[in-house]
Amino acid sequence: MTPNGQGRPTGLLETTGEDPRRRARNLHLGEIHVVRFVPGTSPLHRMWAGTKLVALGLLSIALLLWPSWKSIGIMGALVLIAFLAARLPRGISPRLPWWLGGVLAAGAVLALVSGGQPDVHLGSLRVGLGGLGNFTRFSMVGVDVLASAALLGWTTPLADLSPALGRLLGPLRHLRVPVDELVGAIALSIRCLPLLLEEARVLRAARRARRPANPRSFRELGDESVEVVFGALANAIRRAREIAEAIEARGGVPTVAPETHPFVGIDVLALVISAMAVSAMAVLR
Amino acid sequence: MYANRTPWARRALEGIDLDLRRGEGLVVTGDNGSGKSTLAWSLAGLLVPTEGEVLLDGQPVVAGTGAVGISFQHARLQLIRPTVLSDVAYGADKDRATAALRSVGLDPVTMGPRRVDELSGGEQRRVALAGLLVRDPVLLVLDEPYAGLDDEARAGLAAVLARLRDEREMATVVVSHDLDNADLLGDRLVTLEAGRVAGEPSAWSGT
Repeated sequence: MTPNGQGRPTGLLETTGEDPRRRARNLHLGEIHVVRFVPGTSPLHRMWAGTKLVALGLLSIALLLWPSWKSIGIMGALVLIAFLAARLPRGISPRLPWWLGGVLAAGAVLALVSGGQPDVHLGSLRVGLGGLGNFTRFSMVGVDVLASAALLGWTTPLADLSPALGRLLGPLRHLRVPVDELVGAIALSIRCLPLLLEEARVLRAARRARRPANPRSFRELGDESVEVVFGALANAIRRAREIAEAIEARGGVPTVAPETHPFVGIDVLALVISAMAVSAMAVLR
Repeated sequence: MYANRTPWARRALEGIDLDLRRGEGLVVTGDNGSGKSTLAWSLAGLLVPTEGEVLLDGQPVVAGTGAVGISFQHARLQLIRPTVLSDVAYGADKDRATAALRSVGLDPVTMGPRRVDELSGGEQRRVALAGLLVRDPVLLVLDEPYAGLDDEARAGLAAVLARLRDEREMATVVVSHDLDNADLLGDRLVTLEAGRVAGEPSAWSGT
């Protein structure tokens, strides 16, 4: 190969390793880091995955049952304390897509138009803020639940979730619930998640690379979105079929590794705090 | 940098300094995780490097202009429409799609109405290639084009690429860890190791 740097630039394509002008630029196409583990030794990292699942389940259900501002505040405070206790770096927060702000703004406008008590008088104009209040409240419920789920993902290796679920659901075996099959299916889903995310990334990139240069109408954009979603679904189904065939060829439902993580003081403390938070949500609703 | 300014940040590629002329073929090889696919995505403008530049005819490469076509490891993922002809014609007219199918050695009359899911791996790869050719790219980037192909399909694909380089003066970059028939895929070989070009780049005939 002709060594580079000699007689350039003469080629069609050139790559250069350094350009300080573009140093600050950073694009990483659709990387999703919410379900990625960040290694650490914090109390949250040492906690049993089952404890985190139970706490998250209890708090989320309580928040959905009593979605008051007080409940939102309690859950938000718990998530914030847990985030600080986990000693997670600031750069961990996901960069939200630009269109999400637009969607939320459009939702807020529609909610405002819907009116509802209480009313505010702006001169001769009466504006009902009830709808906007409800929209904001339920958006915050979503933020709380998503933040707590992200916290679980950042502090728990994906491989720890299935054994923890196996232990948690173990008593259901006495009721003839097919726990092993259920946990096996969940374990496979968790294992396949990164694969599906990578395929979705390729689907998006392929479409972006082949997209016609001319501007597209809203209808074409809509059609394109539908095609991407159904393309991802078709690939997921194909992948599931391949995995099922592989499982059959290897003799049936895969076994999940037995849980060996100890249940220690930090787990008890986390469950007590969660129970207290749920009680507070119920009382203050 | 991959995932820059996050806890998962790592340098995917470093000091890559390459140039390629019209009609030239470059083969990039390396172990898993050496940065081959990241390089392919960067060359196609799908990833913008945090440091450095990828220039096409002196201008930063931009995805979606049609000047660079990229074929991914799983060809099925880039087949967007249900039938062969409708897929190749995505973003172009039917006549160009027909010509593109012919240029990759597929008969538009028999292949055009076929469903993309019914095709073999080699046929899917060729249809994906035709879908790129309709936009007259000056550079084709192929990420692991041999994946899942038998010997016959590999030889056929290599011959198609060699013909495209000769007839259309199209430059090709083939990223592959599989070097079977790779001398047909390009004139030069670059080996990546941990995101860097390993050793001195060498002429294909000298390796």
